[in-house]
Amino acid sequence: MTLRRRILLYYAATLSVSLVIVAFWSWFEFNEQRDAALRGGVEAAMKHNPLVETVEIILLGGLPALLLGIIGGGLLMRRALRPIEELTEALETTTASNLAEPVTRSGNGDELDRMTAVFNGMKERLGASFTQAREFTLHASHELKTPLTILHGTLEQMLGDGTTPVAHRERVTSMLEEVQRLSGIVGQLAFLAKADAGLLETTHGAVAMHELVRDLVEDLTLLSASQNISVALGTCQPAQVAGDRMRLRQLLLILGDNAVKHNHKNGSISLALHQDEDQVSFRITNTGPALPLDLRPRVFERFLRGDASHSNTVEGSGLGLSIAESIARSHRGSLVFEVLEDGRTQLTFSLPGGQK
Amino acid sequence: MHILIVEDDPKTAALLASALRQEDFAVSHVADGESGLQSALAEVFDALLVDIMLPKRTGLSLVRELRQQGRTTPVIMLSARGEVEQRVEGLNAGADDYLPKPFALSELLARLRSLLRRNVVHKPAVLALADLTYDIGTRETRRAGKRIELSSRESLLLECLLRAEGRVVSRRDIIVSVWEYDFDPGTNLVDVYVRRLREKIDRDHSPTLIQTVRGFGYALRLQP
Repeated sequence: MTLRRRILLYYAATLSVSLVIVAFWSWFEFNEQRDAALRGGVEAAMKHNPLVETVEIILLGGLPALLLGIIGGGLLMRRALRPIEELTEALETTTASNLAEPVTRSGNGDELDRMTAVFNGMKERLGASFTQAREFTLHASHELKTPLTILHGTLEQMLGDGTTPVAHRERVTSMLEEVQRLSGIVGQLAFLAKADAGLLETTHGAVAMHELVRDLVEDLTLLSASQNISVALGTCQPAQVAGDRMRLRQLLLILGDNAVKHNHKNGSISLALHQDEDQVSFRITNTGPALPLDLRPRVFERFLRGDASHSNTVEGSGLGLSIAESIARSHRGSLVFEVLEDGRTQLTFSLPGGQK
Repeated sequence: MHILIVEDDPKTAALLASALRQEDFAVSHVADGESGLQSALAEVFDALLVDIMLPKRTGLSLVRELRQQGRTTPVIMLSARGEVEQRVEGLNAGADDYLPKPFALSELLARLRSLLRRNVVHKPAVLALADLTYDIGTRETRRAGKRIELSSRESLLLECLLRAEGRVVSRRDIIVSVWEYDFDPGTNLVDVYVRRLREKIDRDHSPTLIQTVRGFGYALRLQP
């Protein structure tokens, strides 16, 4: 039955019941008047004032009918709108990750059921194109690896070959370096595609975050030395988390490297590790040009680079922070980007972790 | 030395074969897993290079079967698919080493040589080159008899370069043996550490030992 017909039917039923109530009171009043006339003649019948009778009918018959109409109508509307509310809730909770789960259909064939079916179809198509995009990246990165190997090997042979003219060696070397850069990007894309598809295999062991942070400080001190950037480790509380050691090291290195690359000469980097009740948070703050306001919400997007004029001088593919964020997510943690009031950039990585 | 290449992509196979022949290896090549297994069982090879994705029989199954038949021929697996999990899978199946594509020929040759040597010679406790000595156990480093203080990563880096005995070590190999990262760190960490190591062992001494080979990596050797 369609929704329109159902509402019409409920409406008609409510109206009929109201009509019955009004009819009953009218019949009662007319009957009373007739009885009075039979018993006491016209005199007695005249005592019944038409105005009072009408008010009586309205109060005793009309009011209950009115109340019944309001209550019935309210219930009716609620009943009719409930599927819409359910559908709205389902729409609200739809994200990229649950596209495969269809919304439950009422199965009664009304407009809303049809709408749910349309919505499920849309969800399915959306899910399919998401999967397609993911698989495309995954397959593309795999397919690129063999040609890259051949390219790399051939260039290597050209360099090793004594007959390659000296004038070409420089160019071949430069090509070799670009092939390596390309290989790096392909590897990162494969990583992200796998993370998106939930295929990232993570081993979960106990990881001492404070040790990883100390290691990072050692590497950062060297990495930043040529820019004369100072690296300072503030609070570093012992903190144990459950996670994949290698991926957490990768995340920390990305954040550290980011703080060096988007810095300026004589700048500074400060790091801190805090262990709160049930959360471990790592904070890294660096001086350097702040990301333009309009780019801030997009900081974890792929291939995003700071401002265009700056990007040429900064090495890197623009995939680092996306990778860091997907590692954070795979550890049920979060990565937050902020620009502090003094213009420094701060990234905070928090993840659940109990006390030692 | 006779090497068997089991690889279905003709161009990759040709490249590997020509690189190995250039280094005076004898090379045989088959293009599918089944004939790979048959050849490996029928003939004697010094090492096998096996791609994972192969027609008829996968590289993993090939190695598993080979080991089940009691053959200990060293195997290096090559693969374009995922890195970490494939490495574990490959090594579990019985491979001796795993090289993810894209790889450098120099890296493949270095791994192959170290694999061929592994069974033969025992590593000395002290590695040396010219007047530089490095004790693997205590990590004590001396140049011209003078003691040099190295951080733990610097000594690992030096050890990794010394172990290569003059061959070029790729950045990726350095990252694996010093940092144990299974990912490309996307930084110039290696270059920075090499620069620092160079300052410590080469600045006040001659001849200089650490050499940069552009596009490849680094080598620790006397200038030819």
